[in-house]
Amino acid sequence: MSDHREDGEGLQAYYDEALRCVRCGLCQAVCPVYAVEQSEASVARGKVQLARALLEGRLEPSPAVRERLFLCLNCGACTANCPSGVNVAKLMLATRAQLLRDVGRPAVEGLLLRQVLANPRSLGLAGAGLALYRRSGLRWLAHYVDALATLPAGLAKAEAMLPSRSRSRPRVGPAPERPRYRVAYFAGCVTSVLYPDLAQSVVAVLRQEGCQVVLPRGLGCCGTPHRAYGDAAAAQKLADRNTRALNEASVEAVVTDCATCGAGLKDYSGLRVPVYDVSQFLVEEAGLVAPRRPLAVRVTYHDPCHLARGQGVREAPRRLLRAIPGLDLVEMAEADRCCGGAGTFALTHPETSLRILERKVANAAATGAAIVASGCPACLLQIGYGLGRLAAGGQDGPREALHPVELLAQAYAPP
Amino acid sequence: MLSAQIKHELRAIVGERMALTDPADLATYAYDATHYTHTPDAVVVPASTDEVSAVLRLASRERLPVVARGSGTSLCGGATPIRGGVVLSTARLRRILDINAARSCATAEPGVNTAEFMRAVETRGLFYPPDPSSQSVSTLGGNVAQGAGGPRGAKYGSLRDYVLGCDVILADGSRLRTGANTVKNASGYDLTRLFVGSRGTLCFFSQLRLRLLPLPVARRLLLLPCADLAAAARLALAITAAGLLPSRLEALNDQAAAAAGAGQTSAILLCELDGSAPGVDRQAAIVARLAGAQSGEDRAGEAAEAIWNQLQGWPTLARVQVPRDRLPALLAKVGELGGTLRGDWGVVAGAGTGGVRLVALPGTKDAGTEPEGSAPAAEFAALAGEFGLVRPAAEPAERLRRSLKSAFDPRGILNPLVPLAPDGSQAR
Ligand code: SF4
Ligand code: SF4
Repeated sequence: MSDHREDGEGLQAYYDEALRCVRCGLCQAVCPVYAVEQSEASVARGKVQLARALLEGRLEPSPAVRERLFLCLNCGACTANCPSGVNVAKLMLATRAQLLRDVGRPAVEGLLLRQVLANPRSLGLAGAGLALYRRSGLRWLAHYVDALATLPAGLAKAEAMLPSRSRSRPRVGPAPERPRYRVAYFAGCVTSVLYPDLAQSVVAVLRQEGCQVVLPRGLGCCGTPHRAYGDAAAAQKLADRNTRALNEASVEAVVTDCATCGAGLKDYSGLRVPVYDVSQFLVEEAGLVAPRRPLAVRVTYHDPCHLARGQGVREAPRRLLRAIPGLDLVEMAEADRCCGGAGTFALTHPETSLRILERKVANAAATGAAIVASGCPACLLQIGYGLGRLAAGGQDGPREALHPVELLAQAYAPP
Repeated sequence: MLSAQIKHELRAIVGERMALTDPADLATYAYDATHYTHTPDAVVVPASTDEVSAVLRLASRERLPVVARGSGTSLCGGATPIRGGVVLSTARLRRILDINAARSCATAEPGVNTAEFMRAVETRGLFYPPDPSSQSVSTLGGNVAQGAGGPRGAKYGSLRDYVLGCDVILADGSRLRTGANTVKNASGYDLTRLFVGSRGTLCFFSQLRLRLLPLPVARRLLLLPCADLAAAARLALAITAAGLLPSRLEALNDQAAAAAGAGQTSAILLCELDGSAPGVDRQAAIVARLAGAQSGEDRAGEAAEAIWNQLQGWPTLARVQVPRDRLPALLAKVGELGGTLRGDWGVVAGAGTGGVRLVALPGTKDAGTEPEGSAPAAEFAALAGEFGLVRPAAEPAERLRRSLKSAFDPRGILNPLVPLAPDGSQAR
């Protein structure tokens, strides 16, 4: 994921990458979008060839080309499995950015990105607005969530995707007497707005393991959504701001519970503090020393794309779960296949996203697990929504989606 | 360029969303796994035989070229619209209609994924032997149109032996059913065999009736280290000369062996045995004796499948076919190419079938940077010429081919210009 060539360099710098594709078509076997859409433009080969056609002047940039380039989860499965080593992810980011320069951004997405995600307060408002809207039926709140509402078929989905949890800020409490580590907790957008309980669990678990947790001032969105949607300049601005805040926090590590933020942070060039996914930190660094009580429950684990392929973290969350006495971890089929959430993909392509999700949920249900654990709040949002639909349809399946750290927090709690 | 009228008619047949004419879509159906690029005028994705038939009627009336496309993994341009026209995708013809254990046959639509089909019949205790290396992504229709089989052909016969019959749609949109759903079906012109491997030049396959076998009870994979590729080919010949018929016999050069995870640093011969459990053990003992000092390890189940999966994950860059007794000589020559075949190129030789593939191993650099085919691929192809494999079209055969083509496709709309030698041998 690293090596972002500078924005100004344009797509031309990626011609070799496009030529590296031998058009073998093997990416069709792993692409979740292709499995649903069955169209050449939906698979990596088609998108790489679109980039190549643009570069060779055989194709004019157009909104239609842009739409096809965004019909993608950025899940990285193609990049990870390409026999020719085509870095599809990198090529796609550059092609998207070029297209947005040439033909502009679709109106709605622009709104969502600039007005909502770039501004924590309006994201909070949109999230809180949506939550309130859903819970109270106060229709007049709808105008807060225009950005989501104007996406085709997006509002219903956005509403239904919201987990019903209370909103509160994590409390870090006083520093432990002799802290083993001093760590900064980076709570991403999704966790802060939609999963405040998860944020609290992360803090609680880190404290149990003897860490002093700090929440540095001035942190914002990690910038990954902006980069994915071709706005490298905005992404860089956010990265610079976060880098400064984290460098000045005088901590030994930055810890996050969000796979996407983690992958984004690990890519910052000027950051002087090591970044860890929370499970990686707990298992590989802190070593899980605090005592735990048994939790008799069957759990299956879903690998977030940005954790498994993005950061190479597959074992740590599983080891963390196995460290909970009584917990029965059962592997599901295709554990590292994308759940279809992929940031705003679930909102911009609700139908496709849903069908990808159905396969994930079916794989999870087949394990007989009561809980699906996953190391990314965005996956939890999507899978939780899928489980809700399963239950509403009267089908058997896991009852909730939780972050491994939430289960660990339960195991620490006094009986 | 298609007229607005024709575009309108295509949309009326398959529906608004299933007739693609935006340049952005056309650019993604301009190629298959070869380096040719030719942009079609339209792509249609029919959902039924009726729709296919209507598209062909229209194309015939307008003399529009039609190219059928499965998953676009052809290595001979079979799915490239060389003359433009309409690409007819089988993406929505993906049903397995019937798996009949009592009759040992299955009926499927052309867009069914090959590997999925193989798994589906295996869960019923049945076995579909044709195993093209592209099986994880290719389609049954594409395999049948290309006559694409794989290493199991040495024991189980070619793909043609597993197509009992088919429903096809001819160039003018009319329908024809060939063959039967019985294993024995004598007398009369064998149209089924004519159509299989005709590369989309004679008809569109709308339904395939495929022959199945009982799934072998036991299967074992022997990994036999050899001094070099030629030695591996000689060992393969010795194995068959001893009266054994392995279900797969593939020789890998040292780079390929390492990339396959075979835990070897030399060339190896992969020898898969199947049948009854005692039968497999007996054969394995004989192979071990023939391999002598070379006898290596033994894998079964998932560990064996993992190796085959690796092999299938390597894109084929060039392919030659020789009579298998000439393999040692050819492979000795391939060995001499050593310098040209840099570290990342692999050679996979079908020691049972005589088909030799030049493959790109994971991480191969600049595999696609030479649009006119890479240097090793060219050297490889030259070797094929040297071994006398490209047979020039003999005149009476070429005349017959032309009359056959015009009998089935008088307007020449079906996959025009796809190279096809009269006797079915590769023209390139
Ligand atoms: S992106 Fe990779 S896997 Fe896909 S067609 Fe190109 S070379 Fe093959
Ligand atoms: S990143 Fe994922 S969704 Fe996008 S083309 Fe690759 S495999 Fe398909």
